[in-house]
Amino acid sequence: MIEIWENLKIALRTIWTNKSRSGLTMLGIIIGVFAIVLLIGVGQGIKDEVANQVESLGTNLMVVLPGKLEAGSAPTGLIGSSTLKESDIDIIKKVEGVKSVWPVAIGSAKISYNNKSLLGALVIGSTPEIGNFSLGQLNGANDRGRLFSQEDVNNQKKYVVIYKSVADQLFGQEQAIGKKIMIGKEEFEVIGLKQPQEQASIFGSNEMGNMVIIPLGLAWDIFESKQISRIGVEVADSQKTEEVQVKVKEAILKNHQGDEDFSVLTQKELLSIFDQIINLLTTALTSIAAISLIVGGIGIMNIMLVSVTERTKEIGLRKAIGASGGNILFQFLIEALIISLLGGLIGVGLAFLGSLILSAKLDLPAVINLQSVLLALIFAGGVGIIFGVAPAIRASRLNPIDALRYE
Amino acid sequence: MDSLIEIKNLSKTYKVGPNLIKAVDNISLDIEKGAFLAITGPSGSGKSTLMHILGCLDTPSAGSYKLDGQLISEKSGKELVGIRRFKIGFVFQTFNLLPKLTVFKNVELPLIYQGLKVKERRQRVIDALKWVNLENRARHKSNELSGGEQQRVAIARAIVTNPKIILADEPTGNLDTKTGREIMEVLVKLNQEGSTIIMVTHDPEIAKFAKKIISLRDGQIL
Repeated sequence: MIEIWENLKIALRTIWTNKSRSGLTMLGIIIGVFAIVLLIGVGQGIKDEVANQVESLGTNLMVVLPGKLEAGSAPTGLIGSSTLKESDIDIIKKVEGVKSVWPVAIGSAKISYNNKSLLGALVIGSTPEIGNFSLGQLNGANDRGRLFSQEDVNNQKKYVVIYKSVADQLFGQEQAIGKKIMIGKEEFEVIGLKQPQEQASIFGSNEMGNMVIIPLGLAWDIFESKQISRIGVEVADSQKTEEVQVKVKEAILKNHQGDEDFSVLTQKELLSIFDQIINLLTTALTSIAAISLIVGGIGIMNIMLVSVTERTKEIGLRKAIGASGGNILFQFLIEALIISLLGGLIGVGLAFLGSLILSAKLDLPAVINLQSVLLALIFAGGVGIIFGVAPAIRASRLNPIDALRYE
Repeated sequence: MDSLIEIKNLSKTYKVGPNLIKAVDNISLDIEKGAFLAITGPSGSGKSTLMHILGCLDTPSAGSYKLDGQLISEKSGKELVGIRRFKIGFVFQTFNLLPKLTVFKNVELPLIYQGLKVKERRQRVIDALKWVNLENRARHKSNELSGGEQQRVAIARAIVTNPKIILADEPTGNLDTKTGREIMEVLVKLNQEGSTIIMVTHDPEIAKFAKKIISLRDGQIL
């Protein structure tokens, strides 16, 4: 067997001298690898993001959601109308081991300041305990002002905490704190400004934090219904989270007359549900992308067959001066492999660029890790070899006499 | 002294439809080391088939062919590759250089298949190119050369492995008369330095450069 290096050089030279044809041949592989790496990257990015957020809740937190969530099924309760009751709040508060409880009502209302108005911003109604939870915490470096207190609530103060993006849209460069804004038909005073540390939140808006937080009672007035979208529960001892979870579940079940139309999820369970959904989506999308790799492989086979015919005379000559069938087979296989691997590398490069663009322009996080790159390259190389075999065998079996006569 | 090539009762038959065609018909021939043999004959006389068998590109249907003491007619296809690789140098009518490669790379090709190291290959290629007076063209693409130069590169490629025999198939067929004579002078010089050359040609003027001429007709020696 002659040196691999010589065959590599022959293959690279052939690819280089037929640049445009090689490029077109690679296109299928480039697109396939690009799609696979980027899709896996986006899936991983979203997973990481969700994990970060859920982990930031702390292990002593759980959330009560309307609707029953089964592992592996879509969390319909996140969208559907709420089955949680106002009375659930006090019931949960009384459960042993529960430190604090904050109900959250999510809705939307027109928000306006002077003649500027915002549609589609989320209005979150909650109690001051939401400050225990990242959604309502005002302790970031860029946060200003404060959250409403229990006293404010008792005094029916119309105070609002607004997120940065809302402030930017309403006030531009102006100072937000102290301004009066309209939410629905009510006037509120801005007392807090929050910059979200993550753009997406699994607990509601992923509109890059396009939301405002107001006291629950006032929110109910605006929404004209006493809905509770979810209830956050803080456990006193994080070691006992699972114990308390069971008790909370029992208590709500009793309050709902035995209907299990709600879910109590700990951080871990939330994470696993989201992981399952994202994994399912990523696998489905990646499989579709993998089809384009196979199409790319067929492209390689096509071009290699043309190339064998075109180079019949070269093959005849090589055989006459001492190349074995194996040498020729190897030469064409290496060529197919290099075309597919080069295409793969270009695809990875484009996917990397794509991930930068995605996170810069769409705030869609994409994590391109070595694992997905290797997977895509191995897959591309495999496709190159599998679809290169037929042309290479054809080349290796050419009779040198016939091949030399070929015009 | 033993002959370099011993052919006994060699035949090659093809089946074309229902007919058997005897391309080579019971030929016996000995070729000494250092010979310069021209095989002539009209087209269809079997000279190309004989050449292919001598060059281990084809196998005889009957009879024996011994090259350098080895019984070629009994060897497998794989073994024939080895014989071609180390013992035979080809010069073709259409030169058969790889146009996208440099002159150097073209001459180096057989040495790559022999598995020689880069350093030795380099020295041998330079020596072969010097011998055909083309060392200053080593970096040119082969398709930038004139026909005569291309055939000299092909001769360099044939001799770079120091083969036992050099087979030239109509080496002047694609060249004008003057250039053809120059190429023949190169082959004569090569033979004078000890190489064994077997040349196939239909041109009697070209055949005269050889030391011995045999004529074929209908697969037999006249």
